[in-house]
Amino acid sequence: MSEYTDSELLEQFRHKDTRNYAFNLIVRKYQQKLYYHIRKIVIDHDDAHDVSQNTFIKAWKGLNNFREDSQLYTWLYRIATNESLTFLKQKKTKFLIPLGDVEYELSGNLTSDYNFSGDKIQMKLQKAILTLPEKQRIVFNMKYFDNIKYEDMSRILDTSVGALKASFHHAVHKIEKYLSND
Amino acid sequence: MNEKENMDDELKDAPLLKNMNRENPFKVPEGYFDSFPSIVSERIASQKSKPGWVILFQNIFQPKYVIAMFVFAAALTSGIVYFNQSKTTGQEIILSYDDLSKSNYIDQIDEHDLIDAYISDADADKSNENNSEIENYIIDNQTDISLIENEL
Repeated sequence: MSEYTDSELLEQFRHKDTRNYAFNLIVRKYQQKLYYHIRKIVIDHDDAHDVSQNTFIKAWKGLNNFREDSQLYTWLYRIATNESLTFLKQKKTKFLIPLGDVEYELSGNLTSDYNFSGDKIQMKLQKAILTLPEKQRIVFNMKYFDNIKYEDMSRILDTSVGALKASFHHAVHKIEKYLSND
Repeated sequence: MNEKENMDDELKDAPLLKNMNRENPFKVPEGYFDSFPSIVSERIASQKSKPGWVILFQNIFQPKYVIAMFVFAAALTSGIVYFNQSKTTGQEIILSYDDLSKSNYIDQIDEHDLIDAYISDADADKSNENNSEIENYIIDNQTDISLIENEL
């Protein structure tokens, strides 16, 4: 992938001549991680595609003001998470869908999604995850699939480590119960 | 304790989750990530080429807002036209007999209605004339009004 560290990429970005090149490298470096993070939230590929684009557009606009008090990928993850949540909120208000029904609709998208290659039990797991509240869903995905450290998750989600651990523990309990039911 | 051990510890009470295949079940179209960076670059370039006022204009005049404005304007116009029509239909147009005789609609009016109208107007005039004669007699002959009132 990229030969450069995040600091080097940011330094190149700050120069007008190398800005586009540096940003292209940043996109290539983080596109898959961010895409799948978004995809697990919004489920549908086309929606994830739109949200991913919006994430990087926002990153482009804000990168000059990025102070490096956090890691680049933490900052990008934060944008991606916020954009995903904004997307779901807009979906609710745009189509006047009641709060709980968005998850029902996402579950339906999952069933009909030809871009889902998992087996039956993985489908069931994804549906179980969709029964969780939005933020808890994100915590579970980030920990269970991406194994992100709680300290990093805390910076991304602006939530304490203790609250995140509790949230993950409850999520595990709920999902285990869902999976054990027929 | 390494990461795997940490995760196993967190999932110790969840055997199904612990033993599940954590492979990513979501797939993308072939070549998706090869083309994605250029899609992002194109969007950035298209935004940069538009002046700020164009972007603002596009944000304000989005199709949904334009449609909403059109519906509002149509409703307002309909309301104004409707209320104006209500005012004019309530008015009666009064014609004199001369005007009526010259009117194209004279042939559509029943003759008997015309005659009845003329007679009632004539009676009203006659009644007015009678009243005037009486008033003049009273004034000319300096008649005592109270005598007349007692008779009534």
